[in-house]
Amino acid sequence: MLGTGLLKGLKTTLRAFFSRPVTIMYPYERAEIGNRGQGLIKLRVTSIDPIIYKCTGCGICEKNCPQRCIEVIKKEGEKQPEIYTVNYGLCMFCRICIDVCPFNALEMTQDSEHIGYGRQDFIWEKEKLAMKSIYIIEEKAPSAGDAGEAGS
Amino acid sequence: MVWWSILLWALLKLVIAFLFIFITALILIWMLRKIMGHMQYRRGPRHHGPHGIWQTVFDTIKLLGKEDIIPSGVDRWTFIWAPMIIFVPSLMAFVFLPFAEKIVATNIEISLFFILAIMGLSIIALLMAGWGSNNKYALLGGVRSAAQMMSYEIPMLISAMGVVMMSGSMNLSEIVRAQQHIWYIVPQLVGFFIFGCASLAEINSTPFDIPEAESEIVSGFNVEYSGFRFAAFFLAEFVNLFIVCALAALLFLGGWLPFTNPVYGTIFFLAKTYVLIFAVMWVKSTFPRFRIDQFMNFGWKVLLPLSLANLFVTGVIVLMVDKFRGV
Repeated sequence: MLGTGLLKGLKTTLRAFFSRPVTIMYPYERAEIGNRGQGLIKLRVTSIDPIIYKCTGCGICEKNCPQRCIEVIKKEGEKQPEIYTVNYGLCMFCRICIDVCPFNALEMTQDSEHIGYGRQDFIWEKEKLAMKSIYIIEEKAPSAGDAGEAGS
Repeated sequence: MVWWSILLWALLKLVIAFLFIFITALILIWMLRKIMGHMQYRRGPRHHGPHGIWQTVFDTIKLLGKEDIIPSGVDRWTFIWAPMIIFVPSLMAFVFLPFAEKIVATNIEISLFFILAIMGLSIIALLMAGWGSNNKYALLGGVRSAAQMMSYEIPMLISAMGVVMMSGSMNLSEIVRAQQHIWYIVPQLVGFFIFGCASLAEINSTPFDIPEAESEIVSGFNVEYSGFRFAAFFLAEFVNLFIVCALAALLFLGGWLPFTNPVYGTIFFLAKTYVLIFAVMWVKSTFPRFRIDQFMNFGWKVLLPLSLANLFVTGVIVLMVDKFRGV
């Protein structure tokens, strides 16, 4: 009959009107992320105090990283990383570093939230990579004016 | 009455009308966002006030506070006057809208005629905006809206004529009083349908929003406008929505009836109007846009013959009833 399609459309929208919205109010409530979600990288440690990493500083992850966002320098005479930084401004969470690591020293977490006040906040050192699975802003990054005051 | 008291009284009426228009427009914008949101499984504005009711107030303040940009190359005179002219018909129509028994700013014998005539004036403002912007999209939008309003004004007027024939008056208060026994939506169902379609086209609402088709001509005649000039177009659009819904409530749904008490009458009249507005928004969030040729076909080949047939049948029946009664 003429107009049944129109009525069907009206019915659909009316049903939507009276049903629950699917929106999740993000900062107040969070959607559940599946187990396969690929988030921030975590460095595994064998002991916390003193901190001993499972990482040997071999640098395979550095060589395999497609974005070149990992930087590893081995400690002299020790099988530990001297410097291990990940630049999350570049990282695309491809998980290749975890797959290639022969020592199983890296772990993938489900945390997808990483925010900062500038680019420097996205370069994570080894301690931060090991200890923090959830990124919390500790303090506001100093602006140019604050830095000037601190210097003088 | 001395002249200054007449002037004061007129000014007071004007201020009341302005306040009413602004508040109505703000409520309607909020309502549209909320209804459309919920019909798309969203929530709509939420943060400012209960259910985001202050959102549109803040939006308006933001719009009024924005820089007034007049692009180079526009026809300054038409560009500046168009947003002011578009407000005039909306404001003038309120003068003749009766809200309840005796609650009407000016009661004249041809108020229905006057409102419908004034509503046609807004074409000029849209054409001015389209022409003055010196922009192809704006011009297309303006020309489209002129074509649309011309072709849809006629069925709208003819469908309103059916009601006039039945009630025997062009005074909106008289038309409402004539619906004491039966609301005209029952005998004039076809007329109501035609009036509804034509007034949807009249206020550029979906599925007839061809003049401002966002996806084709980026909202048409108001592309070049920003700040308070844009706000004027936006408010006028929603005020027109209110006016056509109020008109439909008066003509077909019995206005303030069954109450003659001014307070209850006004409440009842507003309730009917808001139900119609909800229906318009419901339609707006459901249907896609007509193509322009389909739209013209619908106007000239469906609505116009239908409204003429409705007029003819109404006339015959009215005559027969009069004969039967021996008038």
